[in-house]
Amino acid sequence: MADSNTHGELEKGSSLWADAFQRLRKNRAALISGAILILIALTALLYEVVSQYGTGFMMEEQHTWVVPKPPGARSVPSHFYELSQAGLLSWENTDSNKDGFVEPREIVDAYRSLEFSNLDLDKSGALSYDEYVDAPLSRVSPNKFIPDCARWAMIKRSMAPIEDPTVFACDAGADNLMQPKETGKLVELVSSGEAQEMINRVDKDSDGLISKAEYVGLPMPRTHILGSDKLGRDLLTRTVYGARISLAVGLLATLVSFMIGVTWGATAGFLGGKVDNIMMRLVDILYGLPFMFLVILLMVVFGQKIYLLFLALGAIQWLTMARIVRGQVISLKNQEFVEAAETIGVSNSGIIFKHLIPNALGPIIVYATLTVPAVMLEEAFLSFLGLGVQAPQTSWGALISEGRQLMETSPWLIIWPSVALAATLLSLNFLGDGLRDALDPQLRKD
Amino acid sequence: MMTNGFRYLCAIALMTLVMGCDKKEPEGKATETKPVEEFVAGSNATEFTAALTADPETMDPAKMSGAVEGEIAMNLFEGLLMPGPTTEGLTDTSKLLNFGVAESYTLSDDARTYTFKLRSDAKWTNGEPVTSEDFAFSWRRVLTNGFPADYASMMWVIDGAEAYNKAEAGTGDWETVGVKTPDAQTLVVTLVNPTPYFPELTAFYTFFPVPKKAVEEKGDEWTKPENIVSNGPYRLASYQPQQEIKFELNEHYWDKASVNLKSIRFRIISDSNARVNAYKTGELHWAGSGLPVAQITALLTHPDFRQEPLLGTYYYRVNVSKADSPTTNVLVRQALSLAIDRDSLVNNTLNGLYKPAESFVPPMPGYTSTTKTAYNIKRAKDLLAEAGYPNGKDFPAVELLYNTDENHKLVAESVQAMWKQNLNIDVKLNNKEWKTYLQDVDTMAYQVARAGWIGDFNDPMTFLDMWTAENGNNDTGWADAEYDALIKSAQQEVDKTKRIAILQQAETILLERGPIIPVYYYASNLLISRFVKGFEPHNRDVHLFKYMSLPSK
Amino acid sequence: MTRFILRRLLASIAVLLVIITLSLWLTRQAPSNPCLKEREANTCACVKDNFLDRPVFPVYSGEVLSPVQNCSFWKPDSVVNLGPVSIIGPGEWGETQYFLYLGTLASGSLGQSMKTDLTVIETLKSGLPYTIQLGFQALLISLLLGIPAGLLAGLRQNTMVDYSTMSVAMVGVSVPSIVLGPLMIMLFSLRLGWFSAVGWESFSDSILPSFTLGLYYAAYVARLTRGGMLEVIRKDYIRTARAKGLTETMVVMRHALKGALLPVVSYLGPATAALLTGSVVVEEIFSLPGIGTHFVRSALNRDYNLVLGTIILYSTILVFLNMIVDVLYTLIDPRVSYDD
Repeated sequence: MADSNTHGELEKGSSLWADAFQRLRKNRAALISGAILILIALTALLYEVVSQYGTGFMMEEQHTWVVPKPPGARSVPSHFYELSQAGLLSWENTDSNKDGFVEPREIVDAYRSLEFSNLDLDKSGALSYDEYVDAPLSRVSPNKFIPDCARWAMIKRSMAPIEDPTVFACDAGADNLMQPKETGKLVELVSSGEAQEMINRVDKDSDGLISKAEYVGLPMPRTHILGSDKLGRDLLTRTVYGARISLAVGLLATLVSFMIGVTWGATAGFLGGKVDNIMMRLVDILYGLPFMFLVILLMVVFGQKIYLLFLALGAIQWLTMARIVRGQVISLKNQEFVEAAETIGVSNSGIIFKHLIPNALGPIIVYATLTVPAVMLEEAFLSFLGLGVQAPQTSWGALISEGRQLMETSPWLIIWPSVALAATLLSLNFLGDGLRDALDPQLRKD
Repeated sequence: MMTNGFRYLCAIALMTLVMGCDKKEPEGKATETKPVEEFVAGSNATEFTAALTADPETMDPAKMSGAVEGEIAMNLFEGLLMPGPTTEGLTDTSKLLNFGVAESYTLSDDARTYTFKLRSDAKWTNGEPVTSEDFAFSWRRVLTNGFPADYASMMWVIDGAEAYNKAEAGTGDWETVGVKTPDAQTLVVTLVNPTPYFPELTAFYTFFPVPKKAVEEKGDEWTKPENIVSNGPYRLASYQPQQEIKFELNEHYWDKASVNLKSIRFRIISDSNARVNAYKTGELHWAGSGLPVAQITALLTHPDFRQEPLLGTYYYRVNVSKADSPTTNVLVRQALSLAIDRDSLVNNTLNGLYKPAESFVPPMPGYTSTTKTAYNIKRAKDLLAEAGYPNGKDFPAVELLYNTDENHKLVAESVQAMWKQNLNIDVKLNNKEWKTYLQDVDTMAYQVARAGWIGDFNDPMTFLDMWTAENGNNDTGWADAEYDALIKSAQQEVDKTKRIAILQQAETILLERGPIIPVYYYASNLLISRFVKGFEPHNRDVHLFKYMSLPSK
Repeated sequence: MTRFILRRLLASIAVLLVIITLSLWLTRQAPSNPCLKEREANTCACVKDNFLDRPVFPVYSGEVLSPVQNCSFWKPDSVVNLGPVSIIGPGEWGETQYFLYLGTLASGSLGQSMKTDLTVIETLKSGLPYTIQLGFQALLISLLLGIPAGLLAGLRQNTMVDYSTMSVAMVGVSVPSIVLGPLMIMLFSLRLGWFSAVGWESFSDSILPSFTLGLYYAAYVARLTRGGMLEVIRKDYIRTARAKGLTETMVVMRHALKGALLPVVSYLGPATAALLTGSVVVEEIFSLPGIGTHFVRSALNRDYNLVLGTIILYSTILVFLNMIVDVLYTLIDPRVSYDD
């Protein structure tokens, strides 16, 4: 063993993997991407923390409103965070008829006045047209037709308030100011059903009402940072939760397809002849089977256990991986280093695993980084058909497929999950490239 | 060399490009679609264009059973009577129908025998007259054992028809069936019971005539565009699968003079968003119902948007045959029904696009329900406690089954939340794709399942007779002797007022102890050009083209 | 080479037979059947018409039941009972669903669709030319856009050109057609009015769908080409070519291109086949005629004959394409040979 302290010219030998890791560390893009991926994975794992201390909403809680709420709109979370007894949510303000009991209708009204005061920036007690337009829940008219007051009265319960002076005038008084009574859906924060739920939680004597003794305050509304979907579910919370399933699908399925596909394709490509023929014909057969039926059957057999479904998706992806690896190996196996290895007496499996596969890793890694999005989107396609992740669980694919319906009127529903997906895949892409470069045998020092 | 292979690929690609360019452009189509700021329906279409949601499974009125097929048959063929242009504002059923092939009919005193007088000028598209023999032949064909007529059971109101239909192939005797043709212009039909809605049944496509000669000559090929013979205001001009169906005016139609739209084009567009897009680019005059719920809120302000009541109920079916399921207890069922806030569900979750169900049978001319559904949390809680589950304690898990659809998911999730909030019970949602869902319901492998029923005619019987014990559409295991007896006596009752009273009683039983939980009444939300005349609200969404006209631009 | 092709053809026929047999069995395993409808309607006549009350294979276990309750089922005349398994007498094998189907195939037909009036061949025939054209156009777009992009990125590795093209490619891969399609319709049909939103009446109607389908695969092709180019660019023979004084273009076009395209070619086989089935979403969104919808709809409707028809069509094309791809390998890489 050389003593590197005394004889400085002797280099320490390094293995392929240590060498590769060194090279990877120098690739800045890959490192940043790796960091981003780890960050996303951690956030996904710590979803509960994000949900409780971050957004305040849980991923399955619903707050129905007429249309999805845009980013910046408020809802009242179902779980009591930040109970408040102050200001407009105090006992005195909530028990408006002073009968000693709080009923659902009074809770609804308390929140309405809370939201109204939020919107009434100049504290004038009425909303001007500008304040009306600034309210997060008012929207521009979805088409060029502005309804007259009669039609508006008929449809206002089915639409978000329209940002148009004539529509505003229908509900405003003669002074062009909207009184609290006319605000309708604009200041709606909780429905009577939700109010009932709040009562149920503290109602010890089960009389459907809250008495002063039972009153512990009401939850403060929280803002939807990224908006909400049409069931009022907070988009940020769902996107973070969706990361779990999407990452799991992507990674598990790709891992399965990688392991099976690489082994199969390399073996077939290297051995050639009849073995290759049979192995590839088996791949053809599996390719020909009806995918939809397989999925339907898998759903029936595995039902609610989604992780098994992911493994199955991976099991379908390995077919293409096998073909690609086989193609690489076929062109590699005639090169000199293979001949050399055979001459030394390396076994077939040794040649395949220690020589051919590492040299073919380039396109393999590229394809693996492409399999991840393919699987995630296949999962989206399945939930498009109702066969994938079941409600209330969600994944990015499911979010995208739900959001595309409302793309024109509520674009945030599709933008944010797509951004999350694209960011993840881009990071994966650069990381994969970094890995590919790191493992490129031609860049090896020795 | 590599280059050869690539050259070959390029050649193939070029060939396909050239082939594509060669496709004939339909005459008169605007070569450039106008940019759309505010869409004017049909501005880019040359003739009246409507949309179909799928390819029709068949064009044979005897075999069909779907909305798409019905749309086609109602305009290609004509029955003894035909639906009128509207059902709105009618207080009784007498104004619902117009005469079709029949120019008049008389009813016997016992209300069981109809004698139809057929028009002498009713003709098929090949010029031959429509005779009573065509009707007898067609109805016999439907009732033939083994013939795949989906609605054969609708004809069982005719005397002897059920027995004939059920008799093993070839053994039935047509002479025992109450359909007689004393001469070419007369059709005498004898029914089992007085059936006040029988005239409306003759306006349903299963009762439409098919051309005896063409069917006998061409067999199953008789519905091909080159062979088909029909007797309605239109004839089938062409059919391109997955693309379009074209109708042309039937030159031999007896009422040709009153038909304004001389040609109709149906575009087959299965995606609901695509239908709205096509409407917005001016390619359709009528985008039909089945609009994507998500987009409806954006269309409400458009003058082309209409909301009309539809004769149908969306409800939850409850399996009462499983001994270990809590739903076998009638108190539990009542509690479940009382705990649903239908108003909030329809107005909040569903954006006010439907109507909360006040009972099971939707309002229709000549009938209003006497019992109503209610939302009463306190009473629901009491009933649940009475049933042995105070405040939901120990309530076993119940599964709610629905077929994959956004709307069903929305409603199911809302109902699940309501039951949790109001009754503190846990309900699990189970979402299955369509065919699996059908099987689960058919084999009663469910606890609570979502269901919908659209009425086939304007009489409460279409909603009520399915709940008798032996009816194939029951699928719940519910059997109530009193209910069955009431239905039977209603079927035999001649006096119309008495009959309605009996049916109201039956509905009361159904709502009080039946296996159903009504949720909402359907409504048609549709887009139809505001310039079209003659398109009026119809509660079965039947809008015949012969009543419509489009002013020329 | 001819021997190779002949052997592959024979193997392909065997593969097809296996696929048909397995698929026939698989389709019958899924719950439900084509005859169940929302309204209880003459299901027994439908079951009899479609021979669903027969055993699938001559060897079966348990009882032969009709898939719909209360319908009578077919009883074989001669059955040999061997405990868990029963075998039908050879004379009646022709009455089983499997042999009935093989008989239909032998007579040159693919059977009758179980849901509509049309035969399977008629159903597929009406849509096939459109799907083929769409697939080819998408393939062309993906190759014309993807290959140059990938080559450029590979040659200029780790520069801005590389990063930007690959980022665009990756974003392209993560935007599914479900999103890209409606986006394109919103922009080009509804806002600008350049194209029709639905249907396929003239060539211009196929442009948006081809791009929607093709851009996704273009991203794939770009990534694979870049990967392949990186493999090849450092090889000795490239250095030799450069040392000889050839221009960069010559180096790339004549020497590097073949090697770079190897992974793309491997991918082309399954990709082209996928284009046929991947068109489902595009066909739905743009409301185009084609066979893509049948792949999904027939399974959801349990229209067994149509499902098998699509499988046969798809497998034949796939097997044929794979053979072409293998032949292409030899053209690209002269060292590859199959004769041994």
